[in-house]
Amino acid sequence: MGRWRTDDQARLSRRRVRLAAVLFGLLTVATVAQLVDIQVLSAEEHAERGVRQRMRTIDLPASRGRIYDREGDVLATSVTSATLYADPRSFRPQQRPDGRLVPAAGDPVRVARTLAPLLDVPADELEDRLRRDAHFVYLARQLDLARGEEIMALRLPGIGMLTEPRRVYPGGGLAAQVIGFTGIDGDALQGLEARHDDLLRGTPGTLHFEQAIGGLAITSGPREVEAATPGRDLVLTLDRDIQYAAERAAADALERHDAAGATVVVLEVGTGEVLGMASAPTFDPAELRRDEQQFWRNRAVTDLLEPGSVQKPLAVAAALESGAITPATVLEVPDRLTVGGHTFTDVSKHGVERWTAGDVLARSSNVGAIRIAQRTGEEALRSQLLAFGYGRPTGLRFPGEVGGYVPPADEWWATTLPTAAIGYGTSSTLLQLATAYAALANDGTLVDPVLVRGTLGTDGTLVAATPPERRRVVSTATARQVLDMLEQAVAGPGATGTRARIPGYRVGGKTGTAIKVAAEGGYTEDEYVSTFVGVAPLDDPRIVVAVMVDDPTGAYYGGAVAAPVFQEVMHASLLARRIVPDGEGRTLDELVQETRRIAEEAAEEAAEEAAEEAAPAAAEDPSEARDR
Amino acid sequence: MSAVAIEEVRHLRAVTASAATPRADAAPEVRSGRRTLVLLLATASIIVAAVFGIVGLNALAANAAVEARALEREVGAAERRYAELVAAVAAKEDPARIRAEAFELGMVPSVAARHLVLSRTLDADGRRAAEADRVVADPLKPVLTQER
Repeated sequence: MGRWRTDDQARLSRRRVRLAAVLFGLLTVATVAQLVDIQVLSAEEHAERGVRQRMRTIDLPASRGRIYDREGDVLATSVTSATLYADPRSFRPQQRPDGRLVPAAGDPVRVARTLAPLLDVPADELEDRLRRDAHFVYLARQLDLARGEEIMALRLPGIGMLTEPRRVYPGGGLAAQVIGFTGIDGDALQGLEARHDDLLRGTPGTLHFEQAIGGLAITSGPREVEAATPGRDLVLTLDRDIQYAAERAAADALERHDAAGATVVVLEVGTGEVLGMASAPTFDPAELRRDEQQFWRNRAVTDLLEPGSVQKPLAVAAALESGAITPATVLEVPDRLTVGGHTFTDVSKHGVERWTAGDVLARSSNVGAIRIAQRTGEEALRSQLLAFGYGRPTGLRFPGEVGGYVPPADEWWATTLPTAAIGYGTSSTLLQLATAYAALANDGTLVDPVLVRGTLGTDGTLVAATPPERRRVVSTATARQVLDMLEQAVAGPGATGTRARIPGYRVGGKTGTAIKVAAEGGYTEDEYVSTFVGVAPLDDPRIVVAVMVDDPTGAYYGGAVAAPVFQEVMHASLLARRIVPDGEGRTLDELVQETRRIAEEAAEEAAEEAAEEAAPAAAEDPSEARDR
Repeated sequence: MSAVAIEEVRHLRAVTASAATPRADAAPEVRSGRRTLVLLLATASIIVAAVFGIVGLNALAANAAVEARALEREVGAAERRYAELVAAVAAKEDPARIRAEAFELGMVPSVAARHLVLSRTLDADGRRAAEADRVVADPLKPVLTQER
């Protein structure tokens, strides 16, 4: 019996051992198979998964380039701002996958009431956001970093902070229509911000680092940085002081004349650089929701106008260039003329005058300009206007820029020539007008306008932009003859532009007053566009200023409305650019004499006042008066 | 015992090569054991030193990394501060703000600025006039003036 048991147990044990061996064998095979799978067959996939689990990649945003004026004054820059967010689901009890209940992080009502005054957002609105069924909601974006850190120091539950770049325009609305703006996510939306976004934006970088469970970075772990390439800094041709003077003058004109708008362009002769470009009303990029969207556009390049009489010098240049007239040519000019069934008149009645082209411009005679154009001919006038840059956008390539209109050759009817001679039937932007006058001031060579001087290199030096295109549009002689006539239009007898005079400088320019085109076609009854375009100093022309006041109330002539704006902006520009006066100044002796005269007059006035005060007192008490 | 035998006993027996052999066989075993021990100790020491060295280097690297991060944070904060100051300075220089401040201080706009023609030209005046003739940008704002 005992022996049977012993044999049986031994057999059982052997069987168990074999079974265990088989099981272990199978396990070993399975394990080896798994190892082969992990280490050989799908090694790459597992390696990648491992890297994904422990390596983290963060995008490093590229800082957007600054925008400077021509002297290095900052017009746009970026700062770091704080964006506050909340995890609304953390404000309600939650059950974990393992069944454990996690209590609410805090009371949304209390958190909303704490944040409301700090964020300047109503508590109800914040509470509504904190009760949403989401893991992430913005509470406030692009706050001052210090404010964000102050809020985070309160350690409010469920509230977090991110940092993100915020675009800042230190001058507020200064050059807002030129510079444009970016959206809250940094997308360029308007103006030069959009036009040169490729330069300003830069290239984002990445940071790869090893992280432990919970997302904490392993300090001694591998760390790879692909540094972000910052955007290029843009240097504009604008001069901040001139830009401000232009904006202030435009805003004053708008208010003074209760106008619909006012636009000013300041160009440097010879380089085509835009020193100022202002439109009123304007807007503040920091208050986009407050200001009307129609104020965003840069009216100097996006709005067309029929130039009116400021186009007459261009017609005269065409006549001189074609040889149809000379500066000495005398024309018989009545005060009315019928062409193609339409009667054109001068503003003031006069007999048949014998005027030169200079006289015609000085008096802004419509009939005289038509007489000159008739001698010039349609084709010569049309081709000259096109040569001055009409009919196509300037080389500025500003977003929304338009090119104006000159009728095609086969659409010139009997009245087209006379209307074009006096600035109707064609259209241009104010910048095109300024560019044409700058060509006259530049001895007949037109330089395409530019707004960007270049970019700043990494070493801080200016990398100049591609120089603008230049082309001759009239001869030097023609240009100088027209400039002389423009001086007559400001300083000559009977001139319409007398209010454009600047003490100490020789100024040339032309007034313009055009009836506005009605939206439904034809012309309005009582809406005008007042313009003035001028050049100074005439000895060595350096600056062109063009002014347009849209629909002024009351006085509407260019000489009364636009010329004073020109005078103010041109004077400020000449001072800002330190341009030496070319007119007659006073000698030191004259100044001393004038000062002495003023002092003597002041002394006499003071003596008279004292005597007047003393007289009644003496009448009251003669002895007291004697004592004095 | 014979006298010779006594003599042999009384005197030390000369050690022959064959007689010394058993002792010579025992000495290499001892030396080999010692050598092994030394090798083990040296290996262990090297391993321990290497481990401590690696740990020490890692600690130094971690310390350096912590310092580097701290410096990076400082640089980042300084850059942020610099950007804020640039914006603040530009805002202070805004012509509209300066004009408003000037009005608050009681200043008034000047009447049309006039100029003088000097009847005597001093050296300095001449130099100044020559400078004025050149196309120069605002000397008060030299950032880009000299094409730096």
